[in-house]
Amino acid sequence: MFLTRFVQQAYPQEIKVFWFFFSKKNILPFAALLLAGAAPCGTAVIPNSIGQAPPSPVTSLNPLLSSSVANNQLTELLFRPLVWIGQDDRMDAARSLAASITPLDGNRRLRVVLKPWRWSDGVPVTADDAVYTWERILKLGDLFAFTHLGGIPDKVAAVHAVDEHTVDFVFRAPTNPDWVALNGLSNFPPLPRHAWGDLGPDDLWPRQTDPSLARVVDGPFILTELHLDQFAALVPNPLYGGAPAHLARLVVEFMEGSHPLAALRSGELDMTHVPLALWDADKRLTGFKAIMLPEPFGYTCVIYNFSNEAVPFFHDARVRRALTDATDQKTMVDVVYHGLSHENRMVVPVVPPTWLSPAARSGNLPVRGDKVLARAELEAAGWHTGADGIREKHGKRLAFSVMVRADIPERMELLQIWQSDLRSVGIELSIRPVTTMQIEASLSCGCSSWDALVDGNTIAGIPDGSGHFDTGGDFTGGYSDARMDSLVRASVEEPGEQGLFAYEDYAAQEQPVTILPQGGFPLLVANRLGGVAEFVNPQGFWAPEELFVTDEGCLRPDGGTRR
Amino acid sequence: MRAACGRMAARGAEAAASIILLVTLTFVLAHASPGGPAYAIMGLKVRPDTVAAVDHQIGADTALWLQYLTWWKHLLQGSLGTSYLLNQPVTGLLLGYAGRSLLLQVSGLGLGVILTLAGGIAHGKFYDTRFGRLLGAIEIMFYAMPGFVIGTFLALLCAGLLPSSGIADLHHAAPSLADRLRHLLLPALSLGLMTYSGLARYLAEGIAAELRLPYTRTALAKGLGPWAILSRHVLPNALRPLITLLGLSLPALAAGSVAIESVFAYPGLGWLLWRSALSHDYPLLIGGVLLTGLATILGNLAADMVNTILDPRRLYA
Repeated sequence: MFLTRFVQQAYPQEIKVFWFFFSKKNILPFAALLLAGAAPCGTAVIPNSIGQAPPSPVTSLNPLLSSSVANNQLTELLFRPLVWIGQDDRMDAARSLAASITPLDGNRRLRVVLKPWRWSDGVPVTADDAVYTWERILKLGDLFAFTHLGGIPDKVAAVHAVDEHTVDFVFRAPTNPDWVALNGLSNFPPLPRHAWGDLGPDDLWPRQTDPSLARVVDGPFILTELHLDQFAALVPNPLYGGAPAHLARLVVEFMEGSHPLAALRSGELDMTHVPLALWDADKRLTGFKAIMLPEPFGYTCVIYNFSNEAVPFFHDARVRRALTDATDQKTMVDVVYHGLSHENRMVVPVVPPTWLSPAARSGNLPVRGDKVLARAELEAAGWHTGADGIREKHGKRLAFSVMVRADIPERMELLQIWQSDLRSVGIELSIRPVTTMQIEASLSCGCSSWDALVDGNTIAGIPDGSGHFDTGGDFTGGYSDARMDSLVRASVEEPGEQGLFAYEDYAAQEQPVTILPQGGFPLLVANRLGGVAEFVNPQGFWAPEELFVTDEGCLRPDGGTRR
Repeated sequence: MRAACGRMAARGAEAAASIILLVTLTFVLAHASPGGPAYAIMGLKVRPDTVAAVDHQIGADTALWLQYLTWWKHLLQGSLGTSYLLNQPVTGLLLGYAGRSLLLQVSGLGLGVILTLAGGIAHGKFYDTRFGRLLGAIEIMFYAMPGFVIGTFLALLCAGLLPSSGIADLHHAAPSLADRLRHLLLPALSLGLMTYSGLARYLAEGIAAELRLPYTRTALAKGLGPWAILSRHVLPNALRPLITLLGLSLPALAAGSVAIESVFAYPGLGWLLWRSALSHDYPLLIGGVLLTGLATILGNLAADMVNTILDPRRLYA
C-alpha cells in the first residue's frame, strides 16, 4: 500500500504515460504498430505552402466545407477520400479507400467496394459511413464545397449500402464512371457516423475548427495539436490501412515569415519554396538540397471578358487563335521558368500527358505559336495594321488591358513577354497589377470593368471542362458556344475517352482562353529530410507518410536511394 | 481637483468619439474592398451559388447598415461576434493574440527604453563631438527606416544564428523558455530600435540643453562628479518630456508591430489584424481595431496622468 502510494507520488508522469500506452483504448493501435514492424522516427516541420500558392492558415477540419488547398492538404491526411489521385492523375490504388470501382446498369450505377480499413478508434470503416457522408452533403446543400464536381450531388439520385463494405452510387442518367470516380469520389471521404452523430449544417459550420470532430480518423495521420493560424501537429495513425508513415511527428506550419530561407538556415523549417528567380543561386547554399516538384495539374491562362462590349473582338475565334499563336511560349519557358516548364496551348494540361488526345500527342494542333499564322488570322478577321503599327477595324484599335496578381512575379514576367509578342503582330496590351481578391471579384461580377485577366486553375481528375467552358460555367468570363456545350456534356456522360478527346480538340480550335506556361515548385530541403520528391500529387495534396528523417537516430527506410 | 476631473472627462469623451469614428471607418472601408469572406473561407475557386450560401450562413447577405447596427447591438450586449474564418469567438481570439502582442511590445519597449537611455545619455553627453554626431546619424538612420525594413535587416543579418519566425522551434513538442526567448529576441529588438530611433534624439537634446544651464556648472563647482550631476540633476529634468513622448509613441509601436509581426510570422494581434483584413474577416478586423484603438487611447491617457502627477502645473494649464 505504502509502496503504491510512494510510486504514485514519485512518478506521476511516468504512470500517466504507462496507462496511456496500456489503456484499453490505446493498446490496440500500439499493438498494431508493433506488429507492423514500423518504427516511426523523428520530427519534420514543413510549411503548408508546399505544392501550392502562398501559405494560408488552416481554417476548417471538415473535408466537406472548404475547397481551399490549405485545408484540404490537412483534411486528406485525416479523412481519406474514396479515391486518391496519384502522380499520373489517375486513381492511386494504394492510397485510395476504394478497393474497386465498377460501373453497372449501363453506367447508371457505380459500385464501390471499400478496403477493410478501421477508424483510429478501432471501429471498421463501413459503407454506412459513406452513406453518412452523402446524407451530410444533402443537408449542407450549396455549402458543400465541391458541389457539382464529378456530378455530386446533382447527378446522383441515391447512395446506399449494399453490404458492410460495398456502397452503390445511383445516377439519374447514364454518367461517365471515370469522371465520377476521379472528379467526384476524390472529394468524397466516408465520415465516422458513430463518432459524429446526427450533425446538420448549423452544427457542422461552427464546429469546423473543433478538434473533437477530428479525433476519429481513417487517414495516415492523427491530429494531436491544432493552433489556429499557427500550426498543426500530427502523429501516425497506427491503424491506417495504407503504407505506414516513417515520421514519428509531423508539424505543418501555417504561417511563414518574410524570410523562409532564413528559417530554413536556422533549422526551424525542414523545407521551403524558393523563388524561381533564385533557382540557380540556391544550389550555392550548403547543407540543403534543391528539389523541383512537378507543375500542378492545371493551367495558367488569360481569361477574356465576353460580357464587356468594349472588347467585342474576343467573340471572334480567329482573334483568340491569333492571341495564342502570337505567344512565344519557348521564350517564356526559358526566361521565366529557366527551362523547367512546358509549352502548352491546350485546356488539357500536358504534364502528366494522361488525358491528351491523339491529335495533341502528335502535335497536330490548330495553334502552334506561329506569328505568321497569327497575322494571317487577324487579316482574315478584318484587322489591318494602322499608322502606329496597331491593327484597326472600323476605326477601333485592337487593344485591351489584362489584370494580373501583383504577388506572383512570374505571371507579371509572362505578361511582359506576351505584351512584346502581341505588339509584334499589331495588338496593344496594357498590364494592370491587382490583388487576388480583385481577380476573383472581377471573375464573378459579370461586369464590364475589365477586359481580360490572368488566373490559374488546378484540375481534380479528368479535365473535362464542365463548369468552366460550357455555357454558364464559372471562371471563363461568360464564354458560351453551343457545340462546346454538347461536347462537354458528352465528355461527362459517355464512358471512355473519346468524348473527352473530341471536346479537347474542339477547345484547341476555339481557344476560349489563352493558355500560358506554368512552372513547378522549386524547393530547398534540409539534408536531414528525405522522400520529398514523392510526397505531393498534381493537385497539391500530400502523402507525408513518404517523408523520413535521417538524424535523431532514425534509420533510412530506402537504403539511401530517395531524395 | 475639479479642474482635473473635468479635464479627464473631456479626454474620455474625445476618446469615445474617436473610437466610434474609428470603428465606423474600418467597417465601411473593409466592406468597400473587392471580394468577400466566402472566398477566404471556402477557397478562391468557390462557385457563385456556394458564395451565396456562405454569405447567408454568416449573415453577410443582409444590408450593410443592418450589419453595422447589429455589430453595435452585439457590442452593447458584451459580444464582439464570431470570426468568419476561424469560427471562434472574437473576444477569446483577441485576448489570446493580444497577450502575445503585449509580451512582444513590452519586451520591445523595454529594450527600446534601455537603448534610448544608453544611446541618449551618450549622445547628450558628447552632443557636439564627432562621436555624438555619429550617434545622431545612427538615430536618424533607424528613424528613416520603416519597421519592416529594420525587421528584414535584422533577420538577414542574423540568418542561421537566431530564429526569424514563429514563437518556438516546433521540432520540440514542449519548447523550453530559452527557446521562446530566442524567438522573441529579433522582433523585440526591431521594435526596440524603432522606439530608440524616435526617442533617443529628444533625450540627447534635453540632456545637452540641461548640461548648458548654470545649475550644472554650480554643481560642478561644488565638486560633484559628471555622473552624479547627470544622474541626480540632469536626467530627471530631461526624462519628463520623454514620458509624454513614450505615451505618444504607443500608436506607432502598435502600428509598427503589425509590420514586425508579419515579417517574423509572430502570432500576435498585429498579425491577426493583417490576416483578418486580407481574408475579409470583418468581425475579427473590427474587434481588433477596437481593441488596438482602446489600448492606444488608454496609453495616451495614462501618459497624461503620469505627467500630471510629475508636473502639477499641468492641472491648471
